[in-house]
Amino acid sequence: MDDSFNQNELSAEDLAILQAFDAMEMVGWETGSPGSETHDDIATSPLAEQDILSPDDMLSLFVGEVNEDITKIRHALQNLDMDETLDRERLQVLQRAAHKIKGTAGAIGCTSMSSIAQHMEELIKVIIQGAVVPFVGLNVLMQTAQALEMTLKSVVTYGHESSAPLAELEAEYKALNIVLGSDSQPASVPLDDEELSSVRIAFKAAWEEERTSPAGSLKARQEHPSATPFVRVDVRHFERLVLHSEQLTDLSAPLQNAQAEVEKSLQELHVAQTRLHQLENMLSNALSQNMQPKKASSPANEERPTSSLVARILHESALLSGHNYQRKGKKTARPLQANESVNWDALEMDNYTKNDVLMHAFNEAIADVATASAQLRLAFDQLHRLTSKHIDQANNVRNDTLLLRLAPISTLLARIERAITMSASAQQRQIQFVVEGETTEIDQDILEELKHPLLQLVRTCLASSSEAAPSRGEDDTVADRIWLYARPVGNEVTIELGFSQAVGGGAIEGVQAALHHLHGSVSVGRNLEGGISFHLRLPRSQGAVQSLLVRVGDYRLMVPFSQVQRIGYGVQAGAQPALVLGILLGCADDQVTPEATHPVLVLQPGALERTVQVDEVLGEVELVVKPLAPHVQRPGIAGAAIDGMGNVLLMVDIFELIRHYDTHQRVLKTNPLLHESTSTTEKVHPTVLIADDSVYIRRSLQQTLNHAGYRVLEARDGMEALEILLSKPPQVLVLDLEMPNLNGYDLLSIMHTHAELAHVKIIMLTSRSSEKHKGRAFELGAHGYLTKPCAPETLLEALKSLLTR
Amino acid sequence: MKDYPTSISTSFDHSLSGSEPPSNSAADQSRKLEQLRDDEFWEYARKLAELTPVVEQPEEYLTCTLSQGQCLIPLASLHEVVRSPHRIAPLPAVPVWMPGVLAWRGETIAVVDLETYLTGSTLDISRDGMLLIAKYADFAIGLLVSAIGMAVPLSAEGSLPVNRDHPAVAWCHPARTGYIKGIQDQALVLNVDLVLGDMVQEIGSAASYG
Repeated sequence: MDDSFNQNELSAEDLAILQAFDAMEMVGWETGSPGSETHDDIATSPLAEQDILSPDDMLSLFVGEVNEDITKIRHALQNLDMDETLDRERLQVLQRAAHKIKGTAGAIGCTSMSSIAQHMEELIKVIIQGAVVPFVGLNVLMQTAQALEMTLKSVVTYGHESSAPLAELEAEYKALNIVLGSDSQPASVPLDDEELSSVRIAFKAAWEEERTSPAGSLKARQEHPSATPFVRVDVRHFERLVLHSEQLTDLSAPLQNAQAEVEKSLQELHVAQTRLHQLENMLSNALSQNMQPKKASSPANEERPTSSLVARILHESALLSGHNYQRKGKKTARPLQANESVNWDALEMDNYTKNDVLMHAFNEAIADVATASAQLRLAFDQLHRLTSKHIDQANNVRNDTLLLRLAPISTLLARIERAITMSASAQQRQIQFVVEGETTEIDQDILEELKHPLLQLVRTCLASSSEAAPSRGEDDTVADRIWLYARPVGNEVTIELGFSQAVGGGAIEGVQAALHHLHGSVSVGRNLEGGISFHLRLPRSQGAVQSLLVRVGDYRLMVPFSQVQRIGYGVQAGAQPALVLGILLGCADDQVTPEATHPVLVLQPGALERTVQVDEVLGEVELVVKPLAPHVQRPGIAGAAIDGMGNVLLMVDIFELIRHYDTHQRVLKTNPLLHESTSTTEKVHPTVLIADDSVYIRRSLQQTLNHAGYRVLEARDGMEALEILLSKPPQVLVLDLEMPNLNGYDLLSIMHTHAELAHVKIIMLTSRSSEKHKGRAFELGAHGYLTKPCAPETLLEALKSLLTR
Repeated sequence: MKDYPTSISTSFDHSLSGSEPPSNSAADQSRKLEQLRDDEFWEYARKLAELTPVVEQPEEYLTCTLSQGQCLIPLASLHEVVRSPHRIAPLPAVPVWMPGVLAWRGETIAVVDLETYLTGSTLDISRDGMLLIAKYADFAIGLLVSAIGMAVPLSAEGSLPVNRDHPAVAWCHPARTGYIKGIQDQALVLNVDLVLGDMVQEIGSAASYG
């Protein structure tokens, strides 16, 4: 043990750890390798006792032990002061704990965990040597401890360890230029006092924030004191609330269906009622006519007065008008029979027959049905109003619940800021990080999925950006800029992550996959400062989307309000002639022209002031839009919603549709296979674009190709190559793998999204000769693969072969 | 057919007693079991489990009527049968045999006119009839057929091998005959996994209409 060790400075727990290690009598741990720690006491321990423990028991023991060690590491890290020189003794405590985990994990077959622990051990060594600045070292140690925790968690959860935390950690080391496991000194150099001080403050703030606010919202609150206070909510309770609100919303459709059924039944009741009235009339007439023959059969009837004054009046009226009036529910006067004596009723009381009574009851029943029907209609109208209100409220509850899931983008910034600070200090650069729109809110699940790819994007871009960036000469003192601008657009959020300087290649692939999973997209372009900007577009939440409901032919489509500025009429509602949505969808003939009478959607600024004509605007809807299954996904169809009647409504992304349409048109114009527009010069002298960051390679290839009759274009990096590809598409692209801004793989990935580049033949020309690199290139669409150094004849042969295919 | 032990005692006697005469006495069995060590007992139990006969149940197939013939689809591959009317919404850039998509249990699923798919004819694409909700991987696909009939049991060896010259196969497009795994009473026994896999692939690849 080191003589300088002062046990009085250690906490009780630290002392306990030291005592435990002393008790273990681990000899030579500092120099021992993972495989060399066989101890006699272990070897001679009774075998029978070990046999008693099942593998599960062993695993439980292991998990418990490692968990304890990690807790101690965490505790020790928190106790470490953030001095320029970290407390050596405490570091040694950490080193021993890491060494113990390394051995135990290695013995049980958890190689990733063992490697992480080994990294921690080596890292502490380089920190002690002073090769890594303390605050960087402490932060990386914390990340290493976190990687240990995550790996252990995967063991507990899945029964086997995940290698992802190790990979992520090693990427972090790489980004910080920390080289472990070799005798070479790390590339990072300690900063001067002033730089150290400023960076340490930033780091300390970020560290404090992470420690005190797991949700990362504290900083946002501090920056925006006017923001409303937060309430801590149990996640399980919240999930139940989300579930119940979803179930409540899901009930809307059946409720509306049931309502429609009741409405239908009411209409049937109304029809039945009308028929009943008709029957009543028919029945009355029939009964009345039954009595008419009796009247006719009695010639004396005409002259004979009836016993009822009313009957007499009605009879006279019938004679005048030809209509036989009947008093409903009243007995009609019965004519006297020949054999009957004339018996005047002095009181004029009506006499009722059995038919009269039945008719009376029938009439009353009909009246009752009519009354009940009217009351039912009133009650139904009331129910309809209440149901509509209920459905609206259910939607509000669901939307408000989904709002609870939103969190500001600022929660991502602390990590990004820290990664930038660390990279800047490791590379001895000054980088200014500018953020706008940090209060823009996104669903926390989406933020969580975005967190790692975004961080990885920043790290990858910065990892070798110092090499990629051309020297500024006298301007070396000027700080580089990185900016993150977030902007909500309807139910989407656009994020621009910009770099004022050239960036390292290889950033696009990871973020592209993550955004695809989130149903978002990423594009890349050169910004006004001459650097690279990544434009990310992703959904803001999984909630309901307010949309216009339009009809195009047989299609009923949702168009998000966020994309529409206003509705106009006429083919010239905008600056340019309207596009026809049916043509954009591919369901109408290309020759269809816009109709003057049809409505036109004037799109939000930013879409080149385009307008799109639809057949009819049906109204507005607010529905939850879900992504489509992969096999039914279509360009420009952002998802589908299900309305109350169970109809599928497709939601269109008009911007994407227009982009896709424009691309299609460009392909028709530029693809030599589709048109005979390829000039004779191009046929005889095909154009080859060389994308390589080496001037020497470019020049030598240019000479070779020019001599062989090819026309040559040059690009110094992946971004420049993309720009040339889109403006002057060549027949062949000779592509290097490792380049700044966008590397070869990045460019291949982006080319996939540009259909107009489908005809370009691609030959990889790189120093990477492994099957892994080759396989990945072919997977991404390369047609040929040559390794440097490459004989001119080989390249010319490959070109000839590709062009004659 | 494999011969299985007729009783536990027989298999026990054979497996453990070797050449000893078989004993059918329950008391003997109990005594022997009690005398076993733990590892012997579990070894015995494992052997017994392996010897448990598995009765092969013939798979149930649903008879589906199409205008040109019948086909059989395993019931196990279906979630549900839905009567018409169906609220089918059109989807751009789809194969001719796909009338569109519809909502089923809150999800949007593809609907395929099975007859048009099998015949390759585009004259009369159905949007009506019975809708079979078939399961494929993590999602469902709706198969439209004119009508459904009885469910019939069918063992693996029960149907005739496919012969392209067989009259029952004549109405099927040659490109689809590979998805028929047999013929049973003039009805085509479909290999639903292959059919659905091909449908998903073709629907997916039709998307790149640009």
